Amino acid sequence: MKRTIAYALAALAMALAASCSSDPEGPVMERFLDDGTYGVKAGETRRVVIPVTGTAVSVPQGVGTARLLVLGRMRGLEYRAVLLKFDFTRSAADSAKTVASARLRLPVQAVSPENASVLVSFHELLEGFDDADTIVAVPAYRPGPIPDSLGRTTHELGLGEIEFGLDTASVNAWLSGRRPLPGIAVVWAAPPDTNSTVEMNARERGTDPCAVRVTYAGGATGSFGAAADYTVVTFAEPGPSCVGGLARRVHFTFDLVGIPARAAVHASFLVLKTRGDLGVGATAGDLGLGLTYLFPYYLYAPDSADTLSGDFRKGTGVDQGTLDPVVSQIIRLPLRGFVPDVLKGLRANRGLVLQSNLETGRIQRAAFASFGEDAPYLEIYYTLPADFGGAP
Amino acid sequence: MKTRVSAAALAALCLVSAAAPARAQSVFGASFLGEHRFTGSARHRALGLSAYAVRDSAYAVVANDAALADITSVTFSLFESFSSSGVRSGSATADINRFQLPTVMIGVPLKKGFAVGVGYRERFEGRGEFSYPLAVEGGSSGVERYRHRASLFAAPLTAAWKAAPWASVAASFNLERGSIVDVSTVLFRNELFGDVESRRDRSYAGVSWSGSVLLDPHSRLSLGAGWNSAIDYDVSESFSYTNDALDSSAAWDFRLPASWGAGAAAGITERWWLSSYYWRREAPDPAGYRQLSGSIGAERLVSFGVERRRAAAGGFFARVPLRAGYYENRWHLEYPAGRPVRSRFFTLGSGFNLPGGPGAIDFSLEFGRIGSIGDNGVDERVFRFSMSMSASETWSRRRSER
Repeated sequence: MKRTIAYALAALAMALAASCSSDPEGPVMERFLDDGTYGVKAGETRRVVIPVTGTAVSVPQGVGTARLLVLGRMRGLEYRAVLLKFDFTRSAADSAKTVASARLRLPVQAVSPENASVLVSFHELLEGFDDADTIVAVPAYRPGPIPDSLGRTTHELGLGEIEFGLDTASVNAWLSGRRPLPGIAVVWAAPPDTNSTVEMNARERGTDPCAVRVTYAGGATGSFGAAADYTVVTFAEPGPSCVGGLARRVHFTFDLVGIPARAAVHASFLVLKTRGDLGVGATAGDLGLGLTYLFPYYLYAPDSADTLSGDFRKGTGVDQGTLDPVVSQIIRLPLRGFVPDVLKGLRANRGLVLQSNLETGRIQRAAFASFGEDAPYLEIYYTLPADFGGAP
Repeated sequence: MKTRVSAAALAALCLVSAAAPARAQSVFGASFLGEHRFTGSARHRALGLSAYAVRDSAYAVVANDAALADITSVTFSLFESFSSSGVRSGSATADINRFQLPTVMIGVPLKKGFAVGVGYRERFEGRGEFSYPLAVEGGSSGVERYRHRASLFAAPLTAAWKAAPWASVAASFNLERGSIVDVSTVLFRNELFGDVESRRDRSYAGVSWSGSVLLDPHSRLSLGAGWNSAIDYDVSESFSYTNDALDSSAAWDFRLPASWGAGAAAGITERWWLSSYYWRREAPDPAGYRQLSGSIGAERLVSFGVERRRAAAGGFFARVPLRAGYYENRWHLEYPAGRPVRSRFFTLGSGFNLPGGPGAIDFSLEFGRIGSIGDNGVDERVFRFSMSMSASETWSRRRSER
């Protein structure tokens, strides 16, 4: 009997302790907190908005390794020229042959919008190029276009038109070495329609590159694929836009002097509003390659605030991710430890730089509102230290 | 060997573990040092904390250290308490459950009438965790959270001597230790937000001496008195913040004044006994609590109890002791100034010997109130269940060691 009672009591104590739960104490403790009896009071929590100035900075960057070559225009981006370089080295058996006809093959893979075309002309470059270089303007070329066998100098490049005749005298001169060919520039013969593009294979795609195809007297044929190719893109619109491929970055500068030194930061964000009407996510060709329209961004704190310095181009990463450049929306890029580090003096405030994270691989554009209520700003949440009343 | 004492210790561990979900002491205990704990077994509590002059050979957890001289074998005792209360503060109410850490003592008789004891006694305890929604103008909403942990305890080394059949005395050296931690955290329910924490740690260290006597001038009358020296705590205080540039520390002294108490127990009949106790400590200087300046007064306990002791023979109910009592404890804390917080409790209880040998289990039920709406604007209606266990065993050398 006694043993039973002892076990029952022990079980009751454990059951009571384990099974009961308490209500929140906050409401009944509030008066002790408010009148100071408890003696601890959390510091004030504030949200501050700090204006940000965004300045576009061009950091020339090549995109010679893209898998597609583009001509046309798209939301401020101007794909002005495609540069092609050929290696005309021939076998010993062909070296003495004469070209009877020649064609330049530009394997168009995608156009936008449907049935879009670009009027182009072909010119001999005056100097060669390297697709590992950064080329921000169309190189010098002979002003006179290369005619075809019928004397035509302009051609409509589109899905249905991808091979064009070349003057055989010129081709024989290139192949024989009598007139070395540094390269061919395929340029606009007339400004294309706004927001229309034509895309063709680059050699990096690994199949069916741009090529000069010849038929020798006697019927034999030969093909010379592009040994180097490059899309020359320009962008001249003002305002804060990050453009991959050109490498146009945006340098955001701000002043944190309004944050108290005693503050502890919960979170901070660079808040931007994207301009979907100006954004370029992917061309039709990009989508055909399985690429998405998302814009991968990289935000860093530069090692130098001097935009001309090489140190401006590198720094400490703050955030990276993707955004949809063709949708107008407010995005908040978390700054993580950047603001606390600046407030503690662990790093200098040289602003923040936003760039495409595929700057050397894809041509995309993310544009941001720059003024008015949509202007960029820093949003910082911080709390001041609690008041404990201190030691006596 | 020593299985009963080990089993009792294991049981204590189980109970402490099981009580983990409960939280919070009295809401008044989050201020100043916390809620005062009077030491003693559940028998002492069942008698309304009035058993200071009552001898009890079953326990090492005693109200009066001089009673430790009565143990005749190695005795392990513990006490713990579970409370459930309804708190009213203005229009706010809350039901809160509480668990108080055990008092644990082991007493060892070195020879007949002389015993030493060592253990752990909680002096003050305060626990609380409360939070409030935090609205940030123009932005995300957060939470303001407070966490309070206070524990001042003593590790006594006690010697008790039965100097005469009618007189026992005890002296105790107490290592006084403890900490009071307050943490204020502002947090947001968003993974991109970090918590901002401000924390104050106070570490208390000191020593004290205490002495007590237990006299039986008559077979139906016992008298007890005790005194505990002032405790001069060295307090180390550190502040730490998420913004660690603000971290700082300080050291200062805190003096808890001496306390004294006196009690009496008188037998009306062989089995029916009355008991009473008075205890007092003057107001400490509220060092470290400047917001409480003028709000700290003397602490006082007045208690009464009646016990029908168990009969050696007879039916079940005759062999079960019955206990009842009443006590009023005036806290050091006055809320607001001039209006002391008072605990008033009616108590009931009983107990029985451990099956199979020396030892006891006692329990008490307390029904009462801490604070009052009229005086303090806050009251807690409290039900408290306490239990103490004690296991005794005669220890001897192993045969191989003889």
